[in-house]
Order: sequence, then C-alpha cells, then structure tokens
Amino acid sequence: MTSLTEPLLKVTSLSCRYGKVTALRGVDMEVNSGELVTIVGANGAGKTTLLRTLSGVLPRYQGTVFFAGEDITTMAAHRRTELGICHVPEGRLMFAELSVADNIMLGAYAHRNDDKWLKKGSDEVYELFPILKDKADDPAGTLSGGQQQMVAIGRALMGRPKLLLLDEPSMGLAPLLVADIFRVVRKLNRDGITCLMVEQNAKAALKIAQRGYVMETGSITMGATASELLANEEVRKAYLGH
Amino acid sequence: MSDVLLQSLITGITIGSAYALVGLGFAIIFNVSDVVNFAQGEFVMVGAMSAVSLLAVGTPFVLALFLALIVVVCIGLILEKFAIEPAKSATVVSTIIITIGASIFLRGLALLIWGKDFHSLPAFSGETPIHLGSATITPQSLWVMGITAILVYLVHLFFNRTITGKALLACSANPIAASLIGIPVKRMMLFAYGLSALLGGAAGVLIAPIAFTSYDAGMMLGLKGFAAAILGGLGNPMGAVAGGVLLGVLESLGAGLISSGYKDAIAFVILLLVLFFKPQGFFGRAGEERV
Repeated sequence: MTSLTEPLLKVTSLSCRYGKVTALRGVDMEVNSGELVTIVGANGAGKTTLLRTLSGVLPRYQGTVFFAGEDITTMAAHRRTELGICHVPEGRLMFAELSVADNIMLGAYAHRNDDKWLKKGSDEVYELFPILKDKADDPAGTLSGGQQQMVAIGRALMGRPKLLLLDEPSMGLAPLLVADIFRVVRKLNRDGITCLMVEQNAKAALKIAQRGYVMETGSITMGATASELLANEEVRKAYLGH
Repeated sequence: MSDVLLQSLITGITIGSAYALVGLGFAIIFNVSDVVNFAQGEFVMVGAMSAVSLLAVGTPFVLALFLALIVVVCIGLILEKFAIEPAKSATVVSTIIITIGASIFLRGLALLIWGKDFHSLPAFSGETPIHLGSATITPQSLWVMGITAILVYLVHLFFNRTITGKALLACSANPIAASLIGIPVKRMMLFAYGLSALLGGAAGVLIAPIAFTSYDAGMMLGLKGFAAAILGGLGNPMGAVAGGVLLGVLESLGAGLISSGYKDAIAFVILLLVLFFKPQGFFGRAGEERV
C-alpha cells in the first residue's frame, strides 16, 4: 500500500526557465494528503512560477512532478485538472465579461457532463459565499476584489480538487477580508481538501498551515513545520517583520 | 418610389444575410483570439466553388451542398492547425498577417483549380418570383434569410446556453485562467476556426445561386463581412449579424436610390465613418472591468 506512505504531491529537483532566465532551480518539496502547506517568500522568489508549473501552464525545464503516485511531469494542464489539481490564480483572473454564475459553472468544465455535480457544486459554493448568490448575474469584472477572490476560489472548488493550489489569495484585500479568506481556506482544508498555498502574508499563512517552505530566488531554502518556522529567528526577521 | 424602397429592402436583407454570416465568423474568431481572420471571405468562395464542382461531377444537390460545407470546415481546421497554431507565440498583428497570407494562398489555389471563370449554383427551389405588392422576392432569398436566421439563432444558443460555448468565451476573456480550470484552449481555437469556416461556407452556398462566384469573390465578401463586424462592434457576434443586415440594406438602398455604381463604395464609406466616429461599433461593449 503506497498511498499511506507516499505524498499526494512529490516534486523532485524541478527547474523552470523563461528563456535564459532561471526562475526555479532544483525545487524539492512534497505535500501529504490532507495537509495545508504554505510557501512563503519575497516577491519574485518563484512562488507563482512553481504553482503554474505544477498546474501545467508553464513547461518545466528539468525535474519531475508526481501526483498521487502518477508521473504528471509533462501532462497537459487540462488533464491535470481532470485529476483534481485545481488552481486559484494570482490576481484572481476572472472571466470579466461573463457572469459570476458562468465563472463558477465553468470551473466544473472537467465535469461538464455531470449535471448532478454542476447543481450540487454550485450550491456548495453559494453556501460558502452567500454574497455571490446575489451577484450571480453580474459580470464578474464588476465585483470588488474580495468578491472576485471568492469567485476564484468557488471556480476552483467546482473542479472537485484533490489538491487546491492557492496563489496569493490575500493579495490586495482589506485586512478584514484577508481574515475571511484565510478562514475559508482553513475550513476547506478541515473538510478534507489538501491545500498548497503561496503567500506573501507569511504570518497569517503560517498560522493556519501545518507545514511551510521558504523560497528564495527560485530555490527552497527551508522546510519545517509551521510552528518551527514561526519561531525561527531568520524567518521572523525576513518575513514576519520582527 | 415605395416599391423601389421595398425591393431594395428585400435585396438588401438577402445580401446582408450573407454579410451577417461572414461577420459572425469574424466575430467568433476575434472573440476567442483577438485575431481578425482575413481568410474569412475565402471560406465563402471555397464553399460556393466546391458545391459547383461537386454538382458538376454528378453529386446529388443536397449532398453536394453538405460536402461543400465539410470541405470548408476542413480548410478552416487546416488553417488553424498548420498556420495559426504553430505561430502561437506570434503577436496578434503577426497572426493577422498570417491570415492575410492564407487568404492570398487560398485565392491562388482556387485560381489553379477553378480558373478565372464565373460560376453559379442553381436555386434551391425554383426561380419563380413571389409577388409582394409591387415588389418581388425570389424563393432563394427566402432560403438565404431563413437559413441565416436559423444559423444565427443556433450560434446564439451555443454561446449563451452551452458550457462549451461559454468555455470558448472564457478562452478569449482569459486564456491562462481557462487552461487552469481545465479548458483545452488549443482545441477550442481549432473549434472556433471550424465554426467560422462553416458559417462562411454556408454563406457561400446560400448566395451562389444569386451572385456569381469566382476565385476572387471571397475578397469583396470578406471585406464586407469585416465591415459588418466593425459596424456591430468587433467581438459582439449578434452585433455583427445586425451590422451585416444593416450594411446590406444601406448598400442596396444606395444602389436603388443613387446609382448601382456606388454599391461597394457605400459599404466602405460606412466602414470609414464608423471607424472615425464610433470605433467600438454600434453594439460594442465599453470594455469596463476592474483589475
């Protein structure tokens, strides 16, 4: 029985390049089933690149990615979604002219023939974010940043994630909303969704995560439990502001 | 006077239907990729010419029309797969230039295959005109208007009611987000070209019994369809349809009331006026979005 010991996601010496610029150099990391793992690091450290490589929208240069024991290193992005890797992108990336309801419904594209899920899934999303129900017919581009973030999370949930990738979910949001979003992420994790979250808001992220990695200029420089990282002197200085 | 108006209106809506289908094809590809596909007119020509050739070798009429549409769809798919997709990192402008190249290529190929002769198809159901007061309408006009209306309605349903249609719109709104939620963006592009080619081909076989077709007939039709799409606001499929019908009517009114010599000039004067004074078209969205 491998699934008990093997991590859900296993990344081995993953590198990625934009032309001649190396954005990821030899990243090794893993996420176990049921975990909430966060990657903290400064702007430009390669966090977004890492998530996009995991989703398959960016090609990797070297290294391997295994998901649930399967080698997905060169798998197309839409096939990865079918496996249950769902991505809440940085900057939310709404389909601005489509309605909120359409944005959410499209998240289930991989399950588009499953009418039962289309209904059940969107009910769950509206239960999680009741405010979206009132906005269902509005173009997603007219929503506030926080509401767009909710749509982005809802859209990813419609893909029935086994692994939810969250890229800077708190970016550009008012502090009150940031707390809301983190509460939602924690709830989703408690409900059984494995999460890998990239955050600049390191303190808040480490508080809800079980483990964390620190990323600097394309490499993972540290990996430990969240409480160890929160207590670590270097991490405190560099990312927690004291 | 009023019979001239009525007659011009009938002629205008008929030819405008063809412009509408071509314009719709422009709008669909523009919607998915921000590219103006200047080979759109050639789809019309290939549709008409293929039907003519298939009939000439003895294919039954309905089958010939059907096969002609399949030929056009294949050309649309080949264009996307072998000219557009390999240039995926090209800018929008470069891609547009590729489509211009494709249109010249298709025209040249048509010249080799069909020569410089003019061709036409027999009308779908006889030539006996129907009298409407003092004006007349040919049965073919009714076919053109009717089938155009049905196609436009189906396209409308497709984009508004089906998840595949909405996924196509999603690819244009945000290709990265679209691939992140599992939409195969490449396959969607292929689909858009196939659909646009189908609409162009349909326009071709519909009007071939009314207007003569030749290897270079696609150029003028393509430009008129482009004018229709601009008139309606590029990227708004139903605007392109309205633009097409409007253009056809104005053109035919101008020909009836002023002189038929100005027929083509009217279309392009309208195009220029729209580009000068209302570049977003009459039904274009103001593009408001929050980032």
